[in-house]
Amino acid sequence: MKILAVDDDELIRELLLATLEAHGYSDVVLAESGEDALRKIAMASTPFDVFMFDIQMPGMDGIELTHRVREMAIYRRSPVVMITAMNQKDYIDRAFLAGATDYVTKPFDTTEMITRIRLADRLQAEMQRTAIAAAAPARPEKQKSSFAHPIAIEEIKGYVSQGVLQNYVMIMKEQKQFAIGAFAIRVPELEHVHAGSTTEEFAYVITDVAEVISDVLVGSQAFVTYVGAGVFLCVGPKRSLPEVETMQDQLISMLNDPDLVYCEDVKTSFSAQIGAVAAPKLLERREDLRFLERAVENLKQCPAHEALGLGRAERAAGRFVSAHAA
Amino acid sequence: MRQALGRTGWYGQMVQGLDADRAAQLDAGLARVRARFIASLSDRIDGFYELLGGLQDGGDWQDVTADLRANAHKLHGISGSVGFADIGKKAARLEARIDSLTGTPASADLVEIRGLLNQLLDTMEQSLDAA
Repeated sequence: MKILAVDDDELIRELLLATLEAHGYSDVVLAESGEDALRKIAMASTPFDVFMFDIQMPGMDGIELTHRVREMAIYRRSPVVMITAMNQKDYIDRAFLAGATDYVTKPFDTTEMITRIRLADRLQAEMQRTAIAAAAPARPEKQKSSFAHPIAIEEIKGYVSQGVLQNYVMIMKEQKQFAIGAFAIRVPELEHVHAGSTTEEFAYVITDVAEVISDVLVGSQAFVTYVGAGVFLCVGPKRSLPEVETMQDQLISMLNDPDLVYCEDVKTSFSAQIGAVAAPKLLERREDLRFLERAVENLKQCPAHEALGLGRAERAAGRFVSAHAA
Repeated sequence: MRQALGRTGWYGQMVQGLDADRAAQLDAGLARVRARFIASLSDRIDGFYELLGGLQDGGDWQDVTADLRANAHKLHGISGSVGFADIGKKAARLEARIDSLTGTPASADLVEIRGLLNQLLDTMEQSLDAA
């Protein structure tokens, strides 16, 4: 695995090199600034697999560097592990929004750092598989991706892959800066869309729905991922997550906006179920992500289907709104 | 150096999970970085004293605090990773206090910053003497 590690402190660079090499990562390139990193990326004879960027550096900082790397097609999905002495949520959020996939803090906990690098390694492998699948010629319909499987979505503010979302959650749990909560949104009609569309068409629709959810969550500092089966998982600070009813109204309105063209031949009549917020339990370990599963499980408490025209109170009680024409 | 570093605390954590050869490899690397850090302490201390002077003689507080913050930030990043956690914590406190400034600092702010800087310098000097 080829790693590019960028830090303006020479001693940190040396420390990173020593630690990574001792743990078997011998193909490590060091850069002293964002500008130096871009030069080394441009000159690399083989692409890098994982990046480690210090956030705060003179000149181009790690967040800007992440933006620049994400603009390169080859590195659009590559793991970027941010390294910094800072642990303020604002920096973490900005790093993830810029496209970072993980985060380690200085002073280094070596075991932790190597764990993050191994996770990045796994993430890279997962992304390569996704990229290969996406580049493959159109497959016969019978080989279409299962509805239950997640789909890679790119370039939506606040949208991250499942692996990245899990990393974010672990960091938030570790730093205990605020209470996090997760909830799931299901758009039941996506199953019919999946059945009647190609993989590519379905991906377009999922991307558009993800964009709508991202718009609804704007300002809530939440991150979203698509977990498959028409379900989106959202995680953010509990205190800033929007009210369910507000979200429902906005979701339905925006999902069925006549100006929003999902895909030809795809009917734009969607409903949305929003599950109750699930939170980590006290004393749960950092790696224990079962509350994310609980958030998805909470969808089962939503009624199966209701038609448009129910009163607001009834809809709110059922946490379900339909925009189907009555 | 390996013996001097011991197998507990920060160092024990750094080599945790490695076989003997890898641990020895990391051992040598960490010892090198630690030695260079100790060698750099004297210059870092001089740099902080210069900035302390700038704070006391009514120099441009913006430039001085920006430099102070940058130096404290770097120190915060490296110290704990090479076995000087106390220096790292005091540098982090100084960094955070400067970050909390909004607009022109009151004289009480500068007094507090000078106090934190003095505490950091004391710890750095003690560490240098003990190294």
